[in-house]
Amino acid sequence: MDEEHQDPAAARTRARGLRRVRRWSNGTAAALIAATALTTGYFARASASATAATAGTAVASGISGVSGVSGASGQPGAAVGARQPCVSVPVATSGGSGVTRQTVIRSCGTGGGGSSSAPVVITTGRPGEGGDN
Amino acid sequence: MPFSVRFAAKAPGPGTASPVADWVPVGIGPGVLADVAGTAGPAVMAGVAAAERAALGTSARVVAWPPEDLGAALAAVDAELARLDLEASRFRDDSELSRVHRSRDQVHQVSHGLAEAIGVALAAARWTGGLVDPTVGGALIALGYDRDFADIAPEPSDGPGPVAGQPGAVPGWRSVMLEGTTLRLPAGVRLDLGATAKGLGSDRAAAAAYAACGRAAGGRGGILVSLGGDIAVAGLPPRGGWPVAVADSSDTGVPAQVVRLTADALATSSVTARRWRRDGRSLHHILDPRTGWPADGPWRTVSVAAASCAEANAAATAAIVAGRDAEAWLAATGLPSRLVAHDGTTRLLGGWPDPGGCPDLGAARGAWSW
Repeated sequence: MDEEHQDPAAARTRARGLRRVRRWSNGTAAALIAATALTTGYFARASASATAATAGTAVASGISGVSGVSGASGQPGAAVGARQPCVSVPVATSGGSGVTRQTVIRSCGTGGGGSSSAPVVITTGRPGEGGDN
Repeated sequence: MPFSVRFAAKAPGPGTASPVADWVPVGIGPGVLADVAGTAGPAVMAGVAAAERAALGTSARVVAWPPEDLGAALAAVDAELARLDLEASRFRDDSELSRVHRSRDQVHQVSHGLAEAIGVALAAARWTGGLVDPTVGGALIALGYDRDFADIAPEPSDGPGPVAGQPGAVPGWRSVMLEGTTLRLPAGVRLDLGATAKGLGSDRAAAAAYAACGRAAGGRGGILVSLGGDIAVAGLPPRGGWPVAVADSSDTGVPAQVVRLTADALATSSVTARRWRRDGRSLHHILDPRTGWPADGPWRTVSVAAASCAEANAAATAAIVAGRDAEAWLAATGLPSRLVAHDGTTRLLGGWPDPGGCPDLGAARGAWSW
């Protein structure tokens, strides 16, 4: 139907209806965009966490024969990448002032004559700890 | 509740940094030579680089990954160690602490750095109920520990030495007041910050090195700093954690336990090193503030892992002093701890991993989830 031949009241009613539909459509589009972004972010984080957890487990199993490494606090991201080194010998000795020595170690499961025990993990991170004095 | 350490690494100031050339590369394991420059060679294969030098009367070691970070890390550690030495050494005439000791005033305006070092020592004293006490300085001097340990004659043939049976007085940490940077120190009281200063130094140095490498902005890498075996780490560790040998003797015939540190800090106090003799009496550097004499409890070495190296350092020393009460005291802190008795027996507390092969970490992890 040609708009030029509508009566003014009908034209106003039609215009109001169109505006209402456009507003509803715009709101729906915005909600969809926001939901998509949130979902993408969620899955991105979940994927990164899963990757890190898998890598951490694999590394821990390979190095020290344990099922995971947890609690590292204050670290810049937990993701494990190709450049993160694997060090299988002690890099330092804690023995009190004046006690220094290097000890050659072997990973769990490799067997054979190392002068010390297998490496194990100490985790000292305390999530959410607050200082008191 | 362990005390917390809040410290701020400072940018190197003019004239405070010693030359990086003082550092020497450290070989890590057989056939793996760390290269300071980190540009080529086995260090790149190992993925880490390390260097060591003498510092603060002991040795300092820095390990970094990626290897090319080592240069910047060493410069930052140099600056921090120089700063701490100038602030808190009681063996340097030109240190701020020595100037305080020489002054006839009892109220002093000290630098923020020295205030922090004394504040940490007082917090440790409060936390340990006085088992570690920074006012043992006078007693240590009376026992002959009045200079860098390397300069102490094992058994002097002359000189006054201490009078047997009369230890130096320990005024007690409560006699020291610190409000901001205002220090109130009674006349004659000599501070020794040895129970916490090395740990604080490691904490400061690791944080400064990490920041200097630009990693705090989100890059990937990690730093380990060891001052005489008091170890702090920053950033991301190597896969599985930083492997650290825990030993209470330089004798390779004595077994060491190797642990992996994923974060925070590890410190060891021991009476097996830094020993000397006076008047036929064997002495060591860890004094019992309650008696003024070297601690004579059943434990020769204690290692503790904690959120900061200053805290670990204080806890390990406190346990040596606590003697037969050490196990109960450490158990109350919940900190992973390893105690070695004079007869060689070992006691593990707080979830410290069992050295026998691969541990069931799952069982111990619960104890570490504070």
